[in-house]
Formats: sequence, structure tokens, C-alpha cells
Amino acid sequence: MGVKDINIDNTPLSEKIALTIRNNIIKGIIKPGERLVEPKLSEMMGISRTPIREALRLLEMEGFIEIIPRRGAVVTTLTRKDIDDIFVIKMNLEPLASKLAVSFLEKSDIDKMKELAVKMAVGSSKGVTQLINWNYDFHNLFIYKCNNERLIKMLEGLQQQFKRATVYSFTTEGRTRKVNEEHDKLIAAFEAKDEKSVEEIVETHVYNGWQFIRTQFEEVHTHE
Amino acid sequence: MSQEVFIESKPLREKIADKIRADIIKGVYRNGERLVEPTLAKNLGISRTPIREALRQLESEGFIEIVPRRGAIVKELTIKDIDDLYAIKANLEGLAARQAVVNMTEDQLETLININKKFRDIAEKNPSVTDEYLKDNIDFHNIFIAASGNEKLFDILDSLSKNFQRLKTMLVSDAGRAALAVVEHKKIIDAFVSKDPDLAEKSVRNHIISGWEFLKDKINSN
Repeated sequence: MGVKDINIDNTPLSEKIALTIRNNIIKGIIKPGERLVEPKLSEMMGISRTPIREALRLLEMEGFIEIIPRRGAVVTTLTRKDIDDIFVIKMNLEPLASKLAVSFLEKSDIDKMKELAVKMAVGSSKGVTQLINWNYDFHNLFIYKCNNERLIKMLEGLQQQFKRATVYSFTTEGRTRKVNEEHDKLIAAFEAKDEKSVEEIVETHVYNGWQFIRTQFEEVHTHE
Repeated sequence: MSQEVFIESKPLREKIADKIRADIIKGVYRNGERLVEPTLAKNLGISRTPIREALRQLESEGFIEIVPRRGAIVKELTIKDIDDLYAIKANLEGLAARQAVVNMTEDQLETLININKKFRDIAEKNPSVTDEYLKDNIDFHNIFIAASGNEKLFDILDSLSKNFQRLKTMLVSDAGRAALAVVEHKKIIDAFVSKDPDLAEKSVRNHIISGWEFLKDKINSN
């Protein structure tokens, strides 16, 4: 087997591993503070250590784990305060981005938003991950059109931290339907070029997501 | 004679720095453009020594980079860049103030009041003491940002503030602006005293926007 063969498989494999570990953290199977030991994971999954190391790096970027010198990868604790701190910033910056985007969004962008809204409404056999990605794409369509590079970079940076929390949003049917309704309202406001309602809808949208995640979070954490 | 030049060169250096800085922000000099000492000396009708000093000052402020064998290279910062920065700063500091209303202690409030008193004295008596004013201004803002209790917000605003380093000399070297800042700070303090989150957010936002408007006027008039 050549070096090339290994490389071809590396990227998707590391992502698959990250997905498995991420799901186990979210479900509480792997607990906060727990150490993720490379050789052990490698043995358990029957996979070489290189993609595992890459997966751990991905999870570190997303804030699920912390890599501590001489201790290795440790699962971070996501507290209710972390969720609140992150969402209050998101609730402030994303409406700003949406308001700024109103004059820059083109018809083709709004069409793409509509497409994604339909996809999300129909749902996905691929489950939560696909919904999260569509939702992410939907939001990025207007964030990238805010014409404020620094704001885009800042929201991108925060996105990695939101990921850990937003996963909760798509685990039950209820919020997904609400999300779709809110997205439809937002599309209508963008079409009407109504800055004030765009800003308000996004603010409410983020707020509702936050409150939902809080209840989900508490459910998971009272079982411990 | 040499001493005379030395004494004269200090304000001159600053005047030159003001002119070049404003030109960079206005886009007269482009990103990556070389600032050639002899050319500047000829254009401004000034000897090279104060120009060299002005360039060194601008380097420390982050407006240019002095590269060996290439000379002074302009580092880009456009009005659009600053507009973008201030939009975020106004929003996030406003948010910090809103969150700080609940957590602000009596001691913190008193510190805010004391800093602003000191501020007023500086603005009235000696507007040229900018270093002290700057430090106090940073302290004033950091008190309510920290009082927000939101560490992530504190970190974001801290990293954002590095982008403003290069603007600070312009912002406070004006007695009129200092006096206005005192009034705006007083409004912020009043909002904290009355524990009104909407008012706290609004007064901080307005304060930051007003600082930027002042700066923008100054850039455009230079």
C-alpha cells in the first residue's frame, strides 16, 4: 500500500472519527473531564493513530476537547454559563450582520436560501448532521453578504463554539419545524428589504434557539 | 543651531506624522506603497531628519512597516476597515454594558466616577497629557466590560482593541473630544446608577459612535 492510498482516506476518515467522538460527547457517553487516549481509541476503533490525531485536532477547534501538554486530549465541560455567554454574543452580532446584508443580498442568494429552506423542511435521511450543515449554509448566505470582513471572521470563529451547542437544536423534531418557520419569515423580510424586521427576526430566531438549547441541555444534565 | 533643530523637530515630527497618517487612512498612499524619505522631504519641503522620526513614530503605531533595504512600506487601514471595526465595537461594548448593569458593584461604580473626575481635570487643565488619559480611558471601558461577567465577550473585545492601537493617538490628542468624552462617560455612569440596561447599552453605543465620528471628521479634514 502506497503513501497515497493512506492520504486519500485520511480526511474523510478523521471526520468520521470526529463525528463518532462528538456524538458520544453530546450523548454523555464520554463525560466532561474524561481523557481521550490516542492508543486506546486506535485500538478500540481498529484505526491507525494519524487520523485519530487529526480528528482530535478538529474536535479541539470546535471546542469539544482541550489538548493539554503531558495530559493529552480532555473533554471540555460545557456549562450553562458557556451557552449563555456564547448565545448572548451571537444574538448581538448575527442580527447586525443580517441587517447589513439586506442591501447586498442578490436574488440568487435569496433563491439559495429558499432551496435550503425546502431541503430542511423535507428533512434528511442522513439525520442531524445534514440538518446542521444546511442550517449553517442558510445562515452563511446572509452573513457572508454583510460586507464587513471582520464581522464575518468573528462570526466564523464563534461558529466553532456554537457548533457544540447548536447540535442540541436538531435532535428533536419540534425545534426543527420552528426553525423552518422562522427561516421562511426571514426570507420574506429579506425579499421585502425590510432591515428592521430582518434584524428583529434574526434576533428572535437566535433567542429561540438559545432558549431551546437551554432546556435540552438541562434535560441531558439532570440525568447525570 | 543643532539644539534649535532638535527642539523644533518634535512638533514638526508630529505634524508630519499626522499628515502621512491621514493620507494612509484616506487612501492617498496604497497598501504596500513605499514611502521614500527624499521624495517626502522634497514634497513637504522639509529636511529628512524629522521625516525619518515621523516614519519611526508611524511604525510604532502600526501604520507602516520599515523593511531593511526597502524602506517604509504602508500597511493598509482604510476608512471602511475602521467603520467595520467600530460597528462591531459599538455593538459588543453596548452588550457588555447591558450585561454589566446587574453585576456592577459599588466599588466598580465608584472607580468609574473617580476616573471620570480625573478625566475632566485633564480635559480642562492639560489636554496634552494623552498617555495618562489613554490609560484611564482603557480602564474605564474595561471596568464595565469585565463587570459583564462574560469572559468570551471580554476576550473578543480585548483582541478587537489591538486593531485600535494605531488610532489611539488621533483619538485623544484633542481637548474638545476629551471634554465630550467626559460628558458621555457621565451618561454611562448615570445609566449604571439607575440600573437601566437599555440606557446603559444605548449610552455606550452612542459614546463609541461619537468617538468614531470625531475621528472620521479629523481624518477627512487633514
